[in-house]
Amino acid sequence: MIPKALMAASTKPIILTILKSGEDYGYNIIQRVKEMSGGTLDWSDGMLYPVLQRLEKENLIASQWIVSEEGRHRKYYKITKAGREALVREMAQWQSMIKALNLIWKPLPGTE
Amino acid sequence: MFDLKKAVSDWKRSLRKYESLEDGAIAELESHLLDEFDRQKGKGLSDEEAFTKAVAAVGRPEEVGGEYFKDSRRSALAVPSWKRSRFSPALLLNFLKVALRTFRRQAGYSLINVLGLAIGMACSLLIVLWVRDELDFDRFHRNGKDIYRVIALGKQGNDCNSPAPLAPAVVAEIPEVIAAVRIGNVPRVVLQYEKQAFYEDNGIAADPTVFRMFSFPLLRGDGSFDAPDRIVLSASLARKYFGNDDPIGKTLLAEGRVPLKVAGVMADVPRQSHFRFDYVIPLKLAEALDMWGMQWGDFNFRTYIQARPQRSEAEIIRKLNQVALAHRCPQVIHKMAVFSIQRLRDIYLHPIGPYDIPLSSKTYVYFFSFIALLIALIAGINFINLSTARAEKRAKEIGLRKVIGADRSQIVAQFFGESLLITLLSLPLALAMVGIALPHFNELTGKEFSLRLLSSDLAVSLAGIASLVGLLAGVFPALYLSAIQPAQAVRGTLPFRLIGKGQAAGWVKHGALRRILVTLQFTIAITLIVATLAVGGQLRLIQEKSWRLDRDQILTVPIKENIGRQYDLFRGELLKHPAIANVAAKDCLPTEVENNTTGVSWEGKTEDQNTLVMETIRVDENYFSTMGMEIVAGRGFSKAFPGDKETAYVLNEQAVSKAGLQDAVGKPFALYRQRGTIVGIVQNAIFQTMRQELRPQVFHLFRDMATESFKGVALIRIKAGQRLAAVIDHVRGVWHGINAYAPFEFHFLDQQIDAQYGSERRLGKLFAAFALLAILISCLGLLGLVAFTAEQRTKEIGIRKALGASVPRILNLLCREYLLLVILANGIAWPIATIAMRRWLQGFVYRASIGAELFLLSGLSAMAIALLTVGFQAIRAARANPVDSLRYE
Repeated sequence: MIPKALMAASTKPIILTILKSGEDYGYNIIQRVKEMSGGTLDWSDGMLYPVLQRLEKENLIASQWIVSEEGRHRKYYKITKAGREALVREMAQWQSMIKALNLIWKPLPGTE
Repeated sequence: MFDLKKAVSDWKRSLRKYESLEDGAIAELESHLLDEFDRQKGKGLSDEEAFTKAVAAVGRPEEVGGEYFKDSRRSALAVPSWKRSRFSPALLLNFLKVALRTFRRQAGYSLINVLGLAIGMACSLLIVLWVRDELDFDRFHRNGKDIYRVIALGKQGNDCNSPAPLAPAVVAEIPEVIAAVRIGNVPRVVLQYEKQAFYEDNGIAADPTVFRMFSFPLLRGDGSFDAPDRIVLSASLARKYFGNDDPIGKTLLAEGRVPLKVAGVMADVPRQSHFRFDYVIPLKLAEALDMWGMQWGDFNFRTYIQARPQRSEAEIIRKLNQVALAHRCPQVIHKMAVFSIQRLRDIYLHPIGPYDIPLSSKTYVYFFSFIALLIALIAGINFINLSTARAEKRAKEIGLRKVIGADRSQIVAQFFGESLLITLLSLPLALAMVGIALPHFNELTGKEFSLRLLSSDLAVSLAGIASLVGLLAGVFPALYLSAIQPAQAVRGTLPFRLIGKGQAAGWVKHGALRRILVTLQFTIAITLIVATLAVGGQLRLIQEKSWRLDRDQILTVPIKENIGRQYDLFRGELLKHPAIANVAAKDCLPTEVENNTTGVSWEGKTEDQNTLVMETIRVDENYFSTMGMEIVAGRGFSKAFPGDKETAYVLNEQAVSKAGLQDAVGKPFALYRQRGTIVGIVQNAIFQTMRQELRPQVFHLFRDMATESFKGVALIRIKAGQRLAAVIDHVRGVWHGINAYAPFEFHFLDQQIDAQYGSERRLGKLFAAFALLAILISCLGLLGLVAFTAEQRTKEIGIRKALGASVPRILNLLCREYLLLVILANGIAWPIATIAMRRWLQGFVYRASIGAELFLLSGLSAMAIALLTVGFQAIRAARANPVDSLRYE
C-alpha cells in the first residue's frame, strides 16, 4: 500500500509520461496506469480529474472535447511544450532521489 | 426495473451539491462512469450491479469535490460551501442572542427551569459534599494502609473489641505484625486543676505506641508514658485547663484522687477520624485502677495492629486465631468467636457489632447518593418537559436555520449551548441556596462544611455537576428539536415526525413521554412523602412506648465525689424543697446497661434457659416509687425489711415470663450464687432503644453505694407545675454543700431517652426536606406545563366558552389529565414505599404499622398540591373572556 502523499506526488510525472506517447482521455489514462504499473498504482478513479484540471491550469497539458463514434463525449488531453520540459525536470529530480535513496540503502560491508 | 438514464441523472444531481464540480467536470465524470459501466457490463453483470460498481469506482463525490475545491480556493483555511465552517463567531453570537431573546420572551418558563435546576444542583452538591466527606474518613494517617483493627466474628453477634493480652501476644508471635495498640474508652471522669473542674467524656486509655502508629501529632512534650500517672491532652483541652500556660509537667487530679502528670499536648483529633478523644491516659493506669477485665476471656479493648508492607491478610487472620487458641482464649476454644481484621479505612463505614463506637454506614452513603440522583432527575425532567413542550415556538426558527443551510449538528450544538447557558445561570443560584442551607445541613448531619471548602478542588466537581446536568438535561431537547423538518415546520404541520420511527416517535408525538416523566416525578415525590410519614409514625410509637411520667419531670444528677458516701444526707436535703416529690438512686442511667449476665438461677430453670441473659440493676428502696413503676405483685424494696439488702430480688414482667415462673413472688432466686427470694414483680418499662427487645431485668439493692455507684445517678422527681429553675438552684446548692470539687451537672430523663433516637429523627427530617424539595420541583414543572397547555389552547377555550361551556368544564378539560397522572403515580409509589419502609422498620422490635391512612394522607396531599398548582393557571385560563382570545381572527 503506497501512502496517499507519495501517490499524490507521483501523479504528475506519471500522467505527463503517459501523455508523452500521445493524447488520451481520462478513463483510458487510468486503465493504462493500472496496466503499466501492474496494479501497484491503484487510484480512486474520480481523483484523477482534479489532477488533470490542475495540470491544465499550469499549462502542462491541453484538452479538447471529442465526440466518439458511439456518440460519447470525451475530453482528450495532450502534453504541451511546457509539459515536456516539466517532465524532463521531474524525471531528473526523481532519478536523483532514487539514486540518493539507493546510496543510503546500499548494504553495508559485512551485512546482507 | 432499473432505469439507467434516471440513475445517471440522479447521480449527477447528487454531485451538484459540491459546487466546485463545474458542469464540465461533471460531464467528464459522467463519461468516465459510463465507460466503467460498459466494462463491468462486459464482465456479464446486470445493469444495476454494473452501475453500482461504476459509481463505487469513481469514488466518493465529496472527496472528488474537495480535490477540485483545493484547486480553486484562495486561502489555506477555506472550507467548501457544502461543509459547515469549523467555527463562525457571528453564528455563535447569533446563538447567544437568540438564547437570551428566548429567555426574555419566555421569562416565566426560563425562571422555572433555572429555579428547578438550581434546587436540583444545590441538593446534589450538598449530598456530594456529604458523601465525599464520609468516604474520606481516616485518610490522614501516614501508616493508614498498614493499620488494621482486630475484630471478633461471633455466633451471637460480632464484636469490635478483643481481649487485652492479645496485642502483646500478636506482636511477639506474628512476624507480619510490627506494632499493636489497645484502646479502651474511659468512662466520664472529673478532671481538676487547682480550682477548675470539668466532666470529661472523651478519654481513652491506650498503649504508648498510639502516637507512633497513628498520626496524631504531638505539639508539646514527648508524650512518653514512662510511668502510669501520665496524661496527654488535646490542644483545646489543654487550653481549657491551663489557658496559655505551658501544661507540660503540671498535674491534673482525676476524680479528686488520682494525680495525672501532663506528658504532652497533641493536636486536636481531626473530625474525619473514626475515633475521637480529648485525652489519653496510659493503659497501665487503667489496669492499675482495675477498670476493666484483662483476661483472655474479657473482650474490653479495641486492638489495632500495624502490619509489614508485604503481607497477606488471610495469613494474618490465620495466625491471629492460632495465637488466640495457643493462649486458650475461651471464646475461640469453644468456637464462639473467630478473630478477623478490618482495614483502617473500612472501619468508619462498617461498624462491627452493637458496641462499636457510633460510626456511619455504607447504606446511608448509598441511600443519600441515590436520593441526590432522584432530585437531580426530577429537575432534569422539568427541563426536558418544558423545552420539548415549547418546541413549537422554536419550530419556525429551526426550519429557517435549516433552509439557509444549518445542518443537524449545528442545531444540536445550539440547543446544547442553550441548556448549558441555563445551567450556568442556575449555578450561582444553586451556590446561594447551598450557602443558606449549609448551617441547617451541618446541624442535621453533624458535619462542619463551609463554603470555603467549595473554593478548592470542589469547584471542579461543581463545574462537573453543572455541565453534566446541562448536558443530560439538554440531550433530549436538542435531539428532539433538531429533528424538525424545515418543510413541515414552515408549513405549520406540527406535530411533526420526531426522532426515530414507529412506536417511539408516536409516543413522543402524543406527549406520552411528557406524561411518563410527570408520573415519574410524582412517584418519587410521593414515595418520599410516605417515607417521611412512616418515619414520623415510628418516632411517635417510640414516644408512646417509651416509659414516661404523666406530668412530673425526672432530673438526673450523677452520683459523684461524696454523694455516694453521704447519699442519705443528700436525699434528705433535696426532699426539703416542696417541689421535689421523691429521690432515688440507680447504678447507671436508665437508658444504659451496667451489667448483663447469664449467672441467674431459679427453681425449675431448664437447660435451654442457660443462655438467657438478664440485665442486673442496682437501685435503692425508692426507685420504683420515684419512677412511678407499678409493682404488679408482691412488694418493692423497703427499709422495713432489713434483709432486703442481701436476699431480696424484684423481677420485671419480662423476666418472669422468660423464666417461665408461675406465682413468682416468694420463690427462691439467685444472682451470681447469691441466694435470695423474689419479693415482687414490677411492670415492664422501656428506657432503652427499641432496636432491641426489652430485656428481662432483675433488680437488687445497693449494699454500699459509695463503692458500687461509679456510674451511678440520682433520680429526682419534680412535681408538675413548679418553677424548674428554682428547683435546680436548690439541687445545685445541696450538691455544692456536699461536694468540694465535682462540677454540678443535671439532665432531664425524657430528653436522655429521646436522645437515643437522634439518627431516626435526623432521617425523618432529611426525608421531610427531600420530600418537600421533590414536590416543589415537580410542581414547578407542572406549573410550566399547565401554563403552556392553557396558552396553546387559548382559542379552543375561547370557542368552547362562546359555545356555552362552563368554567368547571374548562377546568376539568385542563386539569383532568394531570390529576390522573398523580393518581397513577400514587399507585406506583405506594408499593415501593411500603417495601422500603418495611425493611427500615425491621430494625425495630416494636414497629409502627404502615396503615392505609398513611397512604391516603400522602396521596391526597400530593394531589392537593398538584391541584393547587394546576388549578391556579387553569382558573385564569378558564375565566378569560373569549372575546379577547378570539377577537383578532
